[in-house]
Amino acid sequence: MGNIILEAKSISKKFDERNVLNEVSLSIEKGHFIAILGHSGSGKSTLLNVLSTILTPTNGEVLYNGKSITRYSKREIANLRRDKIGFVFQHYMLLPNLTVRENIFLGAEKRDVYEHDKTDMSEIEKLSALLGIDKYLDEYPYKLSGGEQQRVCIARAVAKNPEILFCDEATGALDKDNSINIVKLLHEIKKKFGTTIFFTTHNREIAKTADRVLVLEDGNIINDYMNDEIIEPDAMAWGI
Amino acid sequence: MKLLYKHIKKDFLAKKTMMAILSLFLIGTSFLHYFVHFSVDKNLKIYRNLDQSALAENELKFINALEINKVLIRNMSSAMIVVFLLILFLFLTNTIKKNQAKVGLLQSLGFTTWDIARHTFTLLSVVSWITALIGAFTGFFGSSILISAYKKTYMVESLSKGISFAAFIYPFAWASLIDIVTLIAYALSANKEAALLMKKADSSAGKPGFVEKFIGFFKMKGGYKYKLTLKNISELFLLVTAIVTFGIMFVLSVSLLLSSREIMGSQREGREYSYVTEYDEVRNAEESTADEGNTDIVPPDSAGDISYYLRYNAAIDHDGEKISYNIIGTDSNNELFSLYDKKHNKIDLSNEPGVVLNPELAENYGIKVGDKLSIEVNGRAVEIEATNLARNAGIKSMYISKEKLAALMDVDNAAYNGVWSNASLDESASTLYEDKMEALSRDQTSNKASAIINQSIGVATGCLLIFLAIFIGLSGNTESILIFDLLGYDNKKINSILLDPYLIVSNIIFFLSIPICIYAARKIQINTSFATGDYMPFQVSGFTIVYMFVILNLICFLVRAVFTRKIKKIIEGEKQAEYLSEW
Repeated sequence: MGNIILEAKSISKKFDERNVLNEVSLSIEKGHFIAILGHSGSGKSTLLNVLSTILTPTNGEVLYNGKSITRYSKREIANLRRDKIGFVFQHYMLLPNLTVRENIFLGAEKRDVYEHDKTDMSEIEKLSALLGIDKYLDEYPYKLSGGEQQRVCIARAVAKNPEILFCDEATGALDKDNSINIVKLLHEIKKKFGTTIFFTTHNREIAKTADRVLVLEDGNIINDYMNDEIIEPDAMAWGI
Repeated sequence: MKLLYKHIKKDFLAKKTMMAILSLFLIGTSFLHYFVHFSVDKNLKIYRNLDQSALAENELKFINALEINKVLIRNMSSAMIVVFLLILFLFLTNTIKKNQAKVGLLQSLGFTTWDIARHTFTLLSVVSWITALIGAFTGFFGSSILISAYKKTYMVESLSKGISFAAFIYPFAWASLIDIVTLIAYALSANKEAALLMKKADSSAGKPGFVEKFIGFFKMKGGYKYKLTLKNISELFLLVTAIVTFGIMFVLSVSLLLSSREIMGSQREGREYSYVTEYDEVRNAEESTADEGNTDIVPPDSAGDISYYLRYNAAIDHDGEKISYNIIGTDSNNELFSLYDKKHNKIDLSNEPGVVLNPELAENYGIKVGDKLSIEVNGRAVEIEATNLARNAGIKSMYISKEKLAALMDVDNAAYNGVWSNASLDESASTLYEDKMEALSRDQTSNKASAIINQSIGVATGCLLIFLAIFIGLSGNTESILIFDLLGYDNKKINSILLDPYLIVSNIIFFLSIPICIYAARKIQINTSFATGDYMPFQVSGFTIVYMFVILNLICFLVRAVFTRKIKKIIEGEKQAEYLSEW
């Protein structure tokens, strides 16, 4: 139990009387890469959003490190997001009027030391080098390709060294090579920092790289299994 | 947090047109405030501290004018700030809605809505302080105009510029109102969960709104254009506010300008005399002429044409309020003074069974012809019917036949205490009518000088408001325009579908709002009349409407040109897809 980072207890979510999530319960262990698999409208993004605190469940509760966060105040939730949770979005969501460096730093924990605190800035540079975007740090996002922008988005999420990283269709807008690179990067982050990663996708090949797979349909988990044979991202059979 | 502020600052400052117009609006308002206060506060303080009983009439009038100007500017700046806050609220709600995905993202990064709102109002407060400073600077120098007008009008010397601390701080305190409006806008527009903000999920999206239902109800031809153009009710509301505000300001400023001319014209009409002689006590014309020993009065035969009249102080009891007036009894068969009704027909007082009113009583107090008036004439209560209105009645004067007034006051038919003549009858009691007119002219211009300047700036601000409202409205169609462009529509067709309806609607709102603008402007002018104690006849004509129509359409043309240039830039840069997919 001590290894459980996140728990969901009978969580449901309704939109306009329509059930999108039906009493879902699960426990997530620290350091796992969890793929949430399902087709469009299955409820996978809603599950991810509820687990990541950006959506409140209609019923049920979410526990973070054994503590219920469902009744947290807005400030407590904001602090949790700021300190412990990172997000990677399908459409990157980089602020166009800030440079790459500023976008990354916006996601960092110590926002108040923006004034070029050398330690923090060097951390950003190391991370950018790891993600292969160090040469774009002073550029604006519009100059970057989709894959590069997604790496900036990952850098922004990882800069604060979060305990959990939520990736919603993070490769949905990318081509094969970029998608493989992003999945590889995420696995490297998991290994290097011990980050727990949630990854929603409809791509079964990506799911094969995960430690655990949750399959959703009509707001229910219809399958929940640990991968016996985890494949390397390079070995994904893309396009099949 | 500095990065969040940097992002918000860049985001808002990128909306150049909007920010420029909002800033100009604030600069105009704070300029008006400082312009008046720099010329009033210090001088009023000095004059109030003087022994009031020792002050000359012109100085007392000067104090009165300063106090009136303070009231006028307080009302004016308050009204403008209310309008500004309304625009700001609509601008912010529109901006937040357009940026809701960004708000959601910032929330996911650990910022609260409060953090975002706080940085937004910090930025807007800085802008409002800068505009207040500019207003203070320009107002300081501009106040010289008003000070020089005071010197000329009231013949007062050694006036200086100065402002009270409270008045100086006031425009800087507007920032706190801006803060409140910003918070309300965020609370209402960003009060959704981060995930829904990021998906730009709107629970009302797709459901027909008021405009769609309205157009659908009338089954208008080409109604789809209006559904596309007027999809946002708040933008429509802003447009209505802008046009009504502009209309009121314009009608009011034209009316104030013309009212002075009207007053001066009416005070010359029907007057063929050069001198007015007035006495404190009632005299008898027959005795005066027979009394050869009286050397004060030039006998009528040597004074040329003269006409005697009776004048008493009167107080009209109107709904419990006492209106101080003069009642003048005169004969119709004199060559020196004639009264005219609204149609310029001569009024024969001998045929009027009652009293002939000054139009002020009808316009400002609502007294109608046919009303029975309770009047206290020189302490004697009488009941007289109002039987006519004289367009050229003297200031604060009403008329009755001399015979009737003499009977009411129990004096002889030949009694008089005033004379109109073409020669001076009595050096100590006669006044050249031209001197009276000159004094009246000074009062007319001085009492309204700052009101007119304020109104003129109000009109300019109203124009800015319309520009802003139409620009916001057209900007709301940018996405639709780009989609139509990508679908292969040519510019002419796009303009006719998405831009022209907005301009047509602006004109419809204008025509529908004319009665409201006239009514409101008239009410404001009446209240200003009460505040200043001067009758300002409300003046509106077809030309006023035509001028407004032309100005409105010039603004529409200008906005359309600016907006199409902006769209052209996007299209020529082939950035349609980029703009449409902007998250």
